[in-house]
Amino acid sequence: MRLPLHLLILACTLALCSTAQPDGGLVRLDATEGNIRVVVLSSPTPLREGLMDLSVLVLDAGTGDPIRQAAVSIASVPDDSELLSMTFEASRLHSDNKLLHSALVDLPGPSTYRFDIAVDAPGHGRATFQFRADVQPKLPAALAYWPWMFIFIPALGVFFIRERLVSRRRACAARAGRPGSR
Amino acid sequence: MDSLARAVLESWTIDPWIILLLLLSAWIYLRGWLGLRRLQPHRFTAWRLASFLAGLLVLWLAIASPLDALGSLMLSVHMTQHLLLMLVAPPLILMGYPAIPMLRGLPNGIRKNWLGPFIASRGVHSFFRFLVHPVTAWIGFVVMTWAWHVPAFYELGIRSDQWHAVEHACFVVTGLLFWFPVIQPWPSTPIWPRGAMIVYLLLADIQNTIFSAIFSFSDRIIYPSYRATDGLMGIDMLDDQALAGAIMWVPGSLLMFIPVGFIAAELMRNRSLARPARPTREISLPVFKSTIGGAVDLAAAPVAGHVIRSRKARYLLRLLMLVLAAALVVDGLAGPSVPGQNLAGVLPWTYWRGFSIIALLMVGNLFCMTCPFIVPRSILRRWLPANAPWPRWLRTKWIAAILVLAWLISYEVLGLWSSPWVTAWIVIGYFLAATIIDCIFRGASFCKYVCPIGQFHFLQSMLSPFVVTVRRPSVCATCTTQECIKGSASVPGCQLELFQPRKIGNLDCTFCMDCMDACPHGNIGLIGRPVGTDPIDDQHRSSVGRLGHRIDLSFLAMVLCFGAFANAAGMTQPMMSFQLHLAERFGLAADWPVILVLLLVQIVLLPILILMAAAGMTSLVMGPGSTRMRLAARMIFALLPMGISMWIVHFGFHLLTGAWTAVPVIHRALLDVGVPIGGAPAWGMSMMPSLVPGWIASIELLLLNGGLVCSLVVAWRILGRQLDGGARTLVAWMPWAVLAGVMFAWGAWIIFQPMEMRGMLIP
Repeated sequence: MRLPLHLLILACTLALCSTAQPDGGLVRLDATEGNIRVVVLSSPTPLREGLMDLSVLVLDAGTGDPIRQAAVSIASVPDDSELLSMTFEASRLHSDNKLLHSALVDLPGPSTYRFDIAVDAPGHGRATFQFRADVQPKLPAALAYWPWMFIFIPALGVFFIRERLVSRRRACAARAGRPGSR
Repeated sequence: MDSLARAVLESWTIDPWIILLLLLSAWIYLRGWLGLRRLQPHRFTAWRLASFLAGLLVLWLAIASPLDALGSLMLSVHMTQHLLLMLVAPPLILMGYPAIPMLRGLPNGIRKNWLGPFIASRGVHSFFRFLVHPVTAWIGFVVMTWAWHVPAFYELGIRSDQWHAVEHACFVVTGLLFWFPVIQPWPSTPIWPRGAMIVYLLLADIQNTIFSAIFSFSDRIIYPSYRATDGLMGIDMLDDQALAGAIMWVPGSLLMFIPVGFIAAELMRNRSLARPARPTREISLPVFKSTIGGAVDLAAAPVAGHVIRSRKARYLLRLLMLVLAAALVVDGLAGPSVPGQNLAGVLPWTYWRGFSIIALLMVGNLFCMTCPFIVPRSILRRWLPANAPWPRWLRTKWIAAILVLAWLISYEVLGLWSSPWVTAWIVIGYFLAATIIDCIFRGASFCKYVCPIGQFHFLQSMLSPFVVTVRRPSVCATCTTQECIKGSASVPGCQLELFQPRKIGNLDCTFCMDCMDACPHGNIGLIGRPVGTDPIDDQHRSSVGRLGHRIDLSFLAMVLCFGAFANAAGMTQPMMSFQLHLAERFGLAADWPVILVLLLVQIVLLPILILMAAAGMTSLVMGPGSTRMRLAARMIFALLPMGISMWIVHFGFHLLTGAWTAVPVIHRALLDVGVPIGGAPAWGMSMMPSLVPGWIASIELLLLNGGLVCSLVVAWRILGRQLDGGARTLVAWMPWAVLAGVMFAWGAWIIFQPMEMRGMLIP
């Protein structure tokens, strides 16, 4: 028996590709204050307890040009007082799209959160923005990883189809009076 | 350069998995192309290779370049990406005639044993012909184009990374199918006359024109996500939408018209418009008629082969391991007592276990090959002849199995991993035991009958992809001197009494390569083999016997198999809480009696009951000739892959989470012995991460899936040999499939639990 190693690698690689985290996601906020306009995107959708990717596009409200030198901080404030409020620095270093300021925000539990986004853009002043979002409980691990749990089913299916094809071929060869090949 | 332009150009999405996939595809194609070029240089020209590689490059640019990063902000950029995925990359790939080079580039076993039956199947042929039939391919292409641009689905792709990947996969697959009848890559034959492809492409262009016109002439922004980026860089998103339409329209149409022109010119040359091609049923594929090389012999490889063949190189590796072991002992006895700060707490438990099991899966029993414990005995044997034979009644695996069990129990009960001092003494004890036993008894008695680490490696190496075996059996058939086991004047023969011509698999093989050194014919190599064949093989093995006829060996396999799960479960939070709960419930001052009992139940008692029950059910199908004990003893080897997958999940977890722990520990150890290295150790590298990255769990589940599939296949093959396949095999196989499934579920449960990060520092 030989494991279809390359095929396994290909399948795994394809599956892993789907977990890549490009910047973007659902547009949560598009607002302007003073000279600063921000567009906020979040991922995943819906938001769940754990890590979320929050990306902020900071624009000059007049020209629409991205302000790349802005300092962006994000505070997550849960309505549930038992959960901790946290502050994160959003940076272009964390984002694939270098026009965006991104941060991985830890959401400690399910609740409605208020996200305070403070932007300090040189030459444009400071501005603060807010939006609220519901955060759902974390999925049970088995649900969150379900595609990984059942890879064996198609693999086994391929194996049994292969066995069937080989046995039919052998039967045909036997009927024709010649040795079957594997 | 303008900072904005620089930001755009810097926006690459570097995903190592995508790069790996594309490089792997390129490597397989290149391997096949090189072989085919020798056979058919007129067909596999350099530009075919260039075209295929260019197709892969375009694919990568579409999904990794700034096009991908900016696609969620601007529709025109996103449409350019779609254009590359559907209309540029697929024809370039197909022009490389990829099917045969890709098949030929795969290893022989995969190509012949696994893909061969599918390729030879008429059903698969018919299905593929259906997929690439111009009608199906055209409809698939058009439906995918329109469906994914319906706002609801498009927004789904924008919001969800997973759906975005699915969308791209759909475009590439339907693009490949659409272009297939147009390019008609060799060795496929056309279904429709060539001239019909002109109509095919023109119809596709008409729908593309309608599609593009909707974008270009719409007076509202179609996709809500782009409303949020309206005004970005002064661009009106309605204008951007019109530009997106123009991109699909003009370059899209051009990409359709170019092949139309080529086909028209071809037809005018051949005047074969009215002559429909007759599909041939049998296509002679050179891919199956010749092999590339044959079995891989690692001992003949350029660099690795030299190390494997050279006694000095192997001895140097052992000395290196000896130095590491000495450092570990000194630090364990004299260094800090915190395991995460001590070489004895980090080197064996985080690194050695992880790397040795990876080596087992990648090559074979490399740890035994470089084992430092036999260095002292090798030196002392110059003066101590070690002539006594190992007692006949002890020539079993029972001592080793009991020691493995004791090892697994003491690991948890005594917390071996948590005490560098105890670890150091274990290493000292190991050196003493190996030296004393091997200075009294002849051969490698310690390795074969006592060493628990060796037994672990022997059993797991049954699944290694390489085996120490003869290159040409015909040479052994005429050999009368048998140096491989008897030795020569300067080199001992196999110290584990394995006679190469009758040696099957890696069981009891330490990869010491003495046989290779001794063989005067150079007839022993480290040969590649299909993974999983070793546990299936039921022939008599030299110095081992038949699998299933040795209860001691089967018991050892059972302990290692179920021990993998018990050992990993022991570091999960729920299991530790359960142990404490039981200890409190029974009023015990310490929890070690509970741990001891639980481990014995998990590793010995429960497995024996389950195995006997499964064997009982199988024996009903097998008939009166098979005993339950013999069946259970044989079938435990089918569960070995499940066990090794759990071991690698467990050890791999520690290796991945503690990958950098050695840096500050070595730094500290060097400072302690006065080596002038500046600065303080970076203990931050040894700190437990607050959150384990999700991809680790994904890889762990993948490995567990691999173990399950391998176990199920091995079980099927073992039973199939006795029952000749069919329904009876299926019934006999079911109990083992259920058992393997339960073990898989147990392993998955372990993976999802909060883990104790052993060998790391608590922040």
